[in-house]
Amino acid sequence: MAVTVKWRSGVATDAGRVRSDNEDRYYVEDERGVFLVVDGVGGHAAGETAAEIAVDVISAQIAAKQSIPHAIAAANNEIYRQASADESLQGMACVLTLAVIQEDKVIVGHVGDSRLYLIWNGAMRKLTADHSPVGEREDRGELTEEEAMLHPRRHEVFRDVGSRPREADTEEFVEVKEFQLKPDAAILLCSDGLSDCLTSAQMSEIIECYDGDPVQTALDLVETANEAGGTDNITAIFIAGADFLGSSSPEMAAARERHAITRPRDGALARRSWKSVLTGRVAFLIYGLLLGLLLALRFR
Amino acid sequence: MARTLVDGKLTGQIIIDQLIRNMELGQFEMAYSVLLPCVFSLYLHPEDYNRLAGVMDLLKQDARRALTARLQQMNAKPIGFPLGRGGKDRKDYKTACKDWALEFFPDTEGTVPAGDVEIHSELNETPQPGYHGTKTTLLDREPTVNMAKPASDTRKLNDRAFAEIRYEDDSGPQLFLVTQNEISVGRGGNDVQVNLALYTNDEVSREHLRLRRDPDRGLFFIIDASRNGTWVNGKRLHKGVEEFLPDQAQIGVAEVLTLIFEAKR
Repeated sequence: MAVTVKWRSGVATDAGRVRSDNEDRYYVEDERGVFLVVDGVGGHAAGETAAEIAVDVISAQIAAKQSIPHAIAAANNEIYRQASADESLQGMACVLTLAVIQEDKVIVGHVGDSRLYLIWNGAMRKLTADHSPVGEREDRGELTEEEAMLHPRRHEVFRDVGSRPREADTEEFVEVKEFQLKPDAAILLCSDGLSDCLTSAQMSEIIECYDGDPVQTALDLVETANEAGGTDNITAIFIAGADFLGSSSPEMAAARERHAITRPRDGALARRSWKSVLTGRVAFLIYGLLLGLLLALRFR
Repeated sequence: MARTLVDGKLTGQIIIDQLIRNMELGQFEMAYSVLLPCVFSLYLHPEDYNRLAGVMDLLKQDARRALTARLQQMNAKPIGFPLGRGGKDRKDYKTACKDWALEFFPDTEGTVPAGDVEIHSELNETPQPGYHGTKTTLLDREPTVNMAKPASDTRKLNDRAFAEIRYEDDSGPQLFLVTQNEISVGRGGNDVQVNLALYTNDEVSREHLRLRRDPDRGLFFIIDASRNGTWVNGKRLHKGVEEFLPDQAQIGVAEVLTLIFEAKR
């Protein structure tokens, strides 16, 4: 039988500290469990336009029960059509990550270098591959996370939505993934503005402070990325399962205190109770010596 | 800082458009003026480089003209509102060199696909191959290019990772690269940090097993630390006893999932 998982979500976005316009867009629909981060590509207003088309088309397609690859392909072709019709929009495109929660399953559609992380038991797992030269090398272990974040080519992508006509099943286009959403797990969707400024350890530190307010977590992530440079537009959607609680949250700390037990460790003599001192090996040696002394005195 | 994508064959117009875009992106703002890059290194796919070798001087002439025109345009007084914003406070756009320095290079690293151009710019330096300054790239990679990756990529992977572990947990199929001499594997927990955190049920212990690599010999060893057991190629391990791990092994984790281990040499 399918288990229904409830969740809470929060979103935050910011242009960052360097760029004047925010070409990131997002779409959040808690009731149906639809979450989308879009990062526009293209100069002037074109990137924003592409991202907006993606949000409009994909949200409508998902509402009409279309599959994720079909929804993304429809957005792709609409962006391409509008770019072809208007010279000022030529070359516009976007990258995006879409997560749809169905019962206890999450289905992900992903194109480009936005990311989806799964957080559970204090560990962060990046579940989407980066469709970019730097991201591919990072995923293959050739670059460390820090090296990738500083790499001069980190803004290039291999895949996009909108630069040419595509179908849902076009090769090297939509990456689809499916995973189980446990009630005590959380999901983070973000544009590369977040992952370029913060390591996953830094993101994890913020997420583990979650105490029931997902909007605050999203805001904290974006704000910390800004403090770390804010070199690009930053968007974060944080979705917490009903039972997810950050390990550093006040609630968790209180619970830990209530359940804290101190167990004596082997060899830790100092912590032994007076009972164990009376029954230990050293005690028997002393009893023996005393007995010997007593007998020696008696039969002298 | 922006991404650009384009279809089709590389033309002179594309190169010049990208050059101008790169110049605009490479602005270095000062108190009263804005410095623009004037030294550009252009990397082309070797095929494009050879195709255009004969016309490169003409291409450079045309590009210099276009850059100069764009610079003049940027410095032109705005039409219409002479007293409005941008009158007195406007900063002058200038370059640090007398003339535009343009140099074409064939891409030797195999990173620029055919039809693309990669541009690196400097405010005032001699052009050097390598990654410097502001750069824009056109990307139009086809699957074939992906497969034609140079073999050196695989070697680099081996340099960093001692082994790889493939597995499928509740988050889907995963690949974990072993880059340390000791790693712990398990479900993890708020107080139990593991290197390979499995997303699975609680039959798997928080710290289920540990792998250790002997750095001198490059051999791997495994210790079971679990409640429900660890198997190597079908044989159950004794808890807490370090055992030799073959270079290729299937590690059974509590009969819940299997890690496909492969040492790299």
